[in-house]
Amino acid sequence: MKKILYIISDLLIAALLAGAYVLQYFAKRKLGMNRWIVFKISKVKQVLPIDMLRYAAVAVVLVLAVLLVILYGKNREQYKKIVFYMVIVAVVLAVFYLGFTFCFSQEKIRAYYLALPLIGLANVVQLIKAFTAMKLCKVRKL
Amino acid sequence: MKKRFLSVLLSMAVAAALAVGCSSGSDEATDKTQENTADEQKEDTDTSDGETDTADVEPVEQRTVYVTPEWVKSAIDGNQAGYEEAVIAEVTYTGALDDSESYKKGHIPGAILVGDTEVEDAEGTEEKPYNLLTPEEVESYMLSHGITKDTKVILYGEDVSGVGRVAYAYLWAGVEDVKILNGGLNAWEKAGYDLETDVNEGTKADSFGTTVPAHPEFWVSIEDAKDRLENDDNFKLVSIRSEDEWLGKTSGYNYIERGGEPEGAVWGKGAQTAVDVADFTDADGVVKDLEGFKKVWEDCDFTLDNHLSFYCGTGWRATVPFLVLYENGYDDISVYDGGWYEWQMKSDYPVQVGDPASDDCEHTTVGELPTDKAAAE
Repeated sequence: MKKILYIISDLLIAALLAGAYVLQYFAKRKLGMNRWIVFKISKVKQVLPIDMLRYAAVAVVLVLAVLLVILYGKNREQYKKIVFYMVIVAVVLAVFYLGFTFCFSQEKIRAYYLALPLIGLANVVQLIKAFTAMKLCKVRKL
Repeated sequence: MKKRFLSVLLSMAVAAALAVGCSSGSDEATDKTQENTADEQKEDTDTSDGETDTADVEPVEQRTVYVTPEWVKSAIDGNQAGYEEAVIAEVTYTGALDDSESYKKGHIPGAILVGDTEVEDAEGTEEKPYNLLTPEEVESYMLSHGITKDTKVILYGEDVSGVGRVAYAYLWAGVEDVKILNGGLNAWEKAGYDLETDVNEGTKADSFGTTVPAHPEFWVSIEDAKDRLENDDNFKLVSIRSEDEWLGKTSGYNYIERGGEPEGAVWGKGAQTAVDVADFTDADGVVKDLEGFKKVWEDCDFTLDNHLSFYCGTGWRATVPFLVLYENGYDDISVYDGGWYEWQMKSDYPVQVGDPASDDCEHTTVGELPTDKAAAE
């Protein structure tokens, strides 16, 4: 059961990241897609302060990632190897999220504002997975 | 144990060597076959559409925009005096190789890539409503491809109006000889001409040779359009949009919520949907000549003696009638670049919804329009 959940969450993360890529892929190539994205973002901007939200979201993910590393570092000998890999993936994803948020913009990446929540959600799933693994995947002490 | 391991290893090495040997042999054979086929095709081309075939293709005037595949081939073959150094370019949306699948699949020999986003903005904001880029930006992109005012440019692409948009921008900028392969790549292939897959790039140029834009009169701003609609009886703002767009039943686009037209506009037909100019082309996508346009326009509320300023949603479809009139010597023409997209952003601008010749045409302002007219996503 545990393994299935891990696989499902891996697939979900892959789908979210692929979704972000696909949006940008078509936004660059197709006039209609590009303009539809511009339109959708302008509508969202009318009701949500998305410029502020994107910074808040990345800050939350970063805090959780740092917390994850600290908790893992404190008792790393009690965790199975798989937890180490999950923490590494979570950190890499968080750094990617941070870089994407600050290094790009809607001018550079047309689907920027649509890709951000997808990448953010992928981070959240990975963090949940890593925290859960820390809880469940401990080395048995004799 | 050691012996058995060594013998297994030896057997694997022999098998691998045989496999590699066989496969490279078959690759060589395949390569040779392909080379022979290519040579044969080349010979066929040389005899079927080589110099002898295109040598007698009639020259066209500098102002002619839409040209046949035969003419383009004859220019490539060096049979059109002055076109030996012509820049042939495939137009895609961004003009970037990664985004241009059609170019990668095969393009006209020697063709480079240019993009619509090299002449118009992609922001869609009130300040940048998909209008032409600044003169400096357009000039910079053209120079990066080696295009100056004296360069002879031959464009083609999948989208009739997307190609028209770039051709119009180049003419506005000051390129004196811009041609479009009428019918695009389909017409080229139908004529039996070859494609290539080599990636070509233009040679950068330093100076355009004149101030961009050399023809500012070809471009009409939203303020000019409104002012001239109100104060110039000879000015006709001609909508190149589908009937449903013209009547305000739909905006035509999934990114425009309001339907209608600038008050005082006249209908120039041309489109069945927001993404075609079907009334202006034949079934193969070949743009009609002026006589064909006159037939489409015979019951329209303007004449060719008026100043005709074409517009559509965002300035693509409108370029096609502009180019046809341009190549036929008409100078009193322009494109209102912002189109319905920019107009419907101004809440106090006057609009008409419905046929202005009928009794049930509603005259109102943008701010009063319902916002449920976006096309289905």
